[in-house]
Amino acid sequence: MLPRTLLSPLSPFLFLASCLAGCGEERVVYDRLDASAWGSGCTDPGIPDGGLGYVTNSLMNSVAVLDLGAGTVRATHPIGVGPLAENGPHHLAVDLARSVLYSPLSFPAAAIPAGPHAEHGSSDTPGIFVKRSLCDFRLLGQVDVDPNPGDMVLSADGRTAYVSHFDLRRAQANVGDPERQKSNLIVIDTATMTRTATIPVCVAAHGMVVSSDGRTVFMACYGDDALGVVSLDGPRPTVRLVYIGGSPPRSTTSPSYGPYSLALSPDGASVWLGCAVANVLIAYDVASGTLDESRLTRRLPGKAWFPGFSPDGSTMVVPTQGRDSVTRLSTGPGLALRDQRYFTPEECTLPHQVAYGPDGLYYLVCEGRHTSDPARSQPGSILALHPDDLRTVRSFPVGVFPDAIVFAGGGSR
Amino acid sequence: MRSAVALALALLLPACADTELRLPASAEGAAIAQNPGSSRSRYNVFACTTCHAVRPSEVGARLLPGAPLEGAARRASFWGGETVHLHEAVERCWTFFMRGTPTDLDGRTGEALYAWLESLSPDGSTAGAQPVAQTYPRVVRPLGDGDATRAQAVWTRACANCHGAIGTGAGRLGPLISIVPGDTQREHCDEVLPSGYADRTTYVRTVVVEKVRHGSFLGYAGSMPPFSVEALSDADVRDLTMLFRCP
Repeated sequence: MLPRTLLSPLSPFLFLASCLAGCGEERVVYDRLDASAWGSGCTDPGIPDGGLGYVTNSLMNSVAVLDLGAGTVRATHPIGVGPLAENGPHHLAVDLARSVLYSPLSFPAAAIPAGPHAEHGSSDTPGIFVKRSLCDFRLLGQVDVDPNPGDMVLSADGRTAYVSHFDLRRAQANVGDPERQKSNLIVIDTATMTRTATIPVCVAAHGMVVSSDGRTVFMACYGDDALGVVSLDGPRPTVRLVYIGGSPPRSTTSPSYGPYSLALSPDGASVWLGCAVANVLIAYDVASGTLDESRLTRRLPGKAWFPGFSPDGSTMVVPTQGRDSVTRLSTGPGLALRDQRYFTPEECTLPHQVAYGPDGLYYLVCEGRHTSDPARSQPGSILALHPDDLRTVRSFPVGVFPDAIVFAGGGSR
Repeated sequence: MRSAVALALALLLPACADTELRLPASAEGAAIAQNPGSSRSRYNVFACTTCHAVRPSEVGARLLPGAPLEGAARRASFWGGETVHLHEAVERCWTFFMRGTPTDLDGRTGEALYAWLESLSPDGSTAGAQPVAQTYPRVVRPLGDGDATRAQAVWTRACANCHGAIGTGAGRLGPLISIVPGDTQREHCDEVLPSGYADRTTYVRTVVVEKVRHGSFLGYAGSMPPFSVEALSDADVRDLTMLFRCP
């Protein structure tokens, strides 16, 4: 310690030194960006007068955008969020008012289909429900759903999305435990992209529609040979199964009818179930809450997939696979056959969905030849069919395994 | 005396005040890009610059899984075309490899990173703006025997940066990084041999091929980024696998 006699005269200088030692620090301050980070998003999706069609390429992780008026493929946008994996975008929905597109990504059993680790790959990979800008397809949100998401629909106000799960694995893994075999209907708040309800409905549900009043969701219950009627009109959702044959199938993993696709008639009075095992369609009368046996089709040339309706609902065009074709039927009692057109592989391979477009043409999704090995797959196509005779008006080449088409603009509903 | 001290204090104290150094947001982004701690995950060992050279001239002899970052802000697509949005491309690295929280990229961290990437692509510059070819084969098969004398060289250029020295792991980025080839052989040489493989060594070498090509995207382990065919050729991978052998 310094002697007091020395400390006293030095104290001002010691004070000064201590002051200087702790001062003069350089503080780094970073500027903020003027513009929003990651660039500014566009706001106008640029829908042309003729409208656009959006088609999932489920084995290419992308969505093709069709310019219906110009008859061209305007763009193809990546939609997946899982790197290096098949993301499996199957179905989709567009909310033009909010300029967004939704799709549940259904990752296949093994994310990587071959190689020594493929068998480690979880076949329970959760699906992901994504929300993307219709304008530039940037990711606006995502939320996990169950494995094997199938179909999706939006409520009329666009605030709620419903996702079904065609979860055959769950059905097979829980044979003997009917409750655990059931797949969930997942309800999503599209503003927050959060799940608001998980409702066990039936075995391997796939196609679905929502009633125009938004109070009821109808689901094709593949394993149960039934229509699932989910009422959302109360404090808790209730589920009712309406069996096609009048009773449950003997085996939920080997159904007799296998209802897979679903379509709501334009007037909302009927729900049509397309059966992939029995090759038939049958109507459900919404008012009476029963299946209408008088509107059970004859056996069609192949598996019956998603039909499209004429604007007045008097006829429907049904795509079938097995013998690749489209069949036009009246929707009233008798279900009179109006037209039938068979396709060569060059014209259309594996017809999957028919939708009535905003330009008055029927649009047919042809899956093309697809396998898990992209090198051995061939692209599919979208055919625009004339409403008079179902002849091909034009064809849009799209990607591998197109699965669904929806429309925006051009007067589409 | 007292007046002299007072005068000195009066003169010096203003200089004593802290100074403020203003830097552009891009400078903060550069610092974030070089700091593995940026992701805030205690398990992360990667910085952006672990896998990416800033400019092509800085790659040197290294074989890096990521493309140079110069021009990235102007590129039309990333990840071999899997995304067309820079934010999504960065988010993939941030979450899958760096174990970061996606929402961080929506805040100050993302803002600074973006500013830095923008600064690497000044207006008018087209350097690095072309999308980078990156092919990740979905199907992985045995590559056959390679040149064992080249294995060490490939290791040094492609693997040593993260895994350290062969056999000991000396210099690896962190304790969770596997020590090669020992850890790999220990994990896989005793597995039940899947059908289609002639012997265990062939199997383990194919495991390595798959790890190199698919990185952590196998659904069960790790944070390793994948190497595209363009980043590391099949010939190099074939030679690299000669380091692995089962008894």
